[in-house]
Amino acid sequence: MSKKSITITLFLSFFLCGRFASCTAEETWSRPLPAGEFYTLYDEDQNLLLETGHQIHLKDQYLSGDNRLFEVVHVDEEKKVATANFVEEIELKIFSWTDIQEELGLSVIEAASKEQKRGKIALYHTHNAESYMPTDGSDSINGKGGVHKVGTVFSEALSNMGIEVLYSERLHLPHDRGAYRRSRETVLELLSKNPDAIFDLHRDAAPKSAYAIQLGDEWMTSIQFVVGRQNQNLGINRKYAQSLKKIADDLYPGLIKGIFYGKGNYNQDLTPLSLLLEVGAHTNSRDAAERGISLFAEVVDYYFYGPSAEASGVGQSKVARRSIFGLVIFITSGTIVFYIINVGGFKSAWKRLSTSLSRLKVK
Amino acid sequence: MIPLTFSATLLVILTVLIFLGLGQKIIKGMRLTNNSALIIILTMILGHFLPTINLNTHFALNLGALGPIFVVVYLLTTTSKFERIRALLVSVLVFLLVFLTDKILPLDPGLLDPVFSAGIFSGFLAYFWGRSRRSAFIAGILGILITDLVNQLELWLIGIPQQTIIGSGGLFSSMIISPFIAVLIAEIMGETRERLHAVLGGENHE
Repeated sequence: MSKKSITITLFLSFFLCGRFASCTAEETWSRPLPAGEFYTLYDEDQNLLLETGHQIHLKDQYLSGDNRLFEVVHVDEEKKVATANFVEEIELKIFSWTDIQEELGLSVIEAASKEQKRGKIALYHTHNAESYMPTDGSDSINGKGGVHKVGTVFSEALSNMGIEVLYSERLHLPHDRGAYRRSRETVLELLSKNPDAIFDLHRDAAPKSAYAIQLGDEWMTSIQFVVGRQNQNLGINRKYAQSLKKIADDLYPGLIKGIFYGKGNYNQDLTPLSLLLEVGAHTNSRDAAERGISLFAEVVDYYFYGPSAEASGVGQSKVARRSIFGLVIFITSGTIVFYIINVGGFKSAWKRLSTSLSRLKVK
Repeated sequence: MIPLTFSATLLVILTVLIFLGLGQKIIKGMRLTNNSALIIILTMILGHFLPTINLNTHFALNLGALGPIFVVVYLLTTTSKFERIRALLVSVLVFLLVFLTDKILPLDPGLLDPVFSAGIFSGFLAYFWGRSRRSAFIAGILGILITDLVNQLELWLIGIPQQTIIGSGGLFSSMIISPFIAVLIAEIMGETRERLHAVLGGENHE
């Protein structure tokens, strides 16, 4: 090991330690953006497009509530202000669930019986501490924050429609960026139970006005979808998110605030039917967020098990059968076949394995 | 039921094939035989199917984690004392970097994805500190394990009853992805350096 390598390593460690030492415990828990701090996105004419706690990067995209797509071209990190250029107006289409399954190249089979019309929807929270200041008294609660209560309302609303809900309230604390690494395990566990879709419920960090809407006589919060740009499922994620928005726009105009296509993968690389939901912001009341998510439950039901699924011609009784377990079995078989080919046939493979095993026995 | 996309499937299969077929040099660099490399990979794949056991309110153990932990023990016990110490030091440094970047960088996973950060740090640190693929592999696993344990300690100190599941997630968890990313980074850096030497007419020190 050279002196140069040691110096580089030590420098890196001390630099990071120094940065960390300057943060208090409180700052660590309330990262990344404490109350009052958020990114603002404007269009070329300085019209306000978005206020969000998500860090905005160059090339991020935003589909506004009125379905205009923008791409970020400039970010001022110090002021937390970004500018986006108009790209195009999107005419939203509903890609049915089964269309999406077929696009994935999966075999579609008869599965659900008539008695079991509706399937399973999975819910979890990567950032458990997120809370709503006016009703929870803080924007972040160590443990199960207010967002869990919003999750419970969503879960109950789906259950009341006959949907089986796989709701994981597992904690992924501390409230830092490692939470996505920890929640990956929860996503995988939920996926092993074969849900039709999976939602990660959050609340944003933005001014009250960013999410407050009035539908009919009731005040509630709107919901923003977040799709990670750095995942191989982006194309399908995009169609899925836009389909849900289209249905929501038809049923409850304004309920979906927009779709933010941000840098990162948010564990959406694990499955294409995964969506991150920002249900209001920390400045909104939790009651308003609960009203918003209750209406969204109807949108989910409509898309997966309602007229939208029936309209696809094949209906909800057809689902894809491949699962993560199927994939693992496939890889294992592929590995064994490849090994056999690599060593020159069954006999050689067997001979090598026998030799290795006998060596182990001798030891 | 949620399917995985074809591209994801292909990616994973290609990765496995690369490890086995094109990874001869990597296996040699880690001073493993083809058979032991195969057993290591199969152990990790099969670990995906194993259940999780509750140990207490703070910890649960996914039996699949026993595979990577066994591999680390095997790699540590079948090497020299010098390399063993180096691998452990690299693991501690990887933990420090993962832990600190978790705290310092923004919550969004955009910059240096937390799922892959341990693998990236392990690859670079192990390469710069002795060009060791073995250390890279060990640090990829141990870095995540130590981070999980320290996170649990952090929560315990502030009184949050959260159960840490050691090694859950099987094939797609950070604990499995990281060592492979680490070894690939170390290998790519080694190859690049070797080729640059060849192009510039320098002597090959690998």
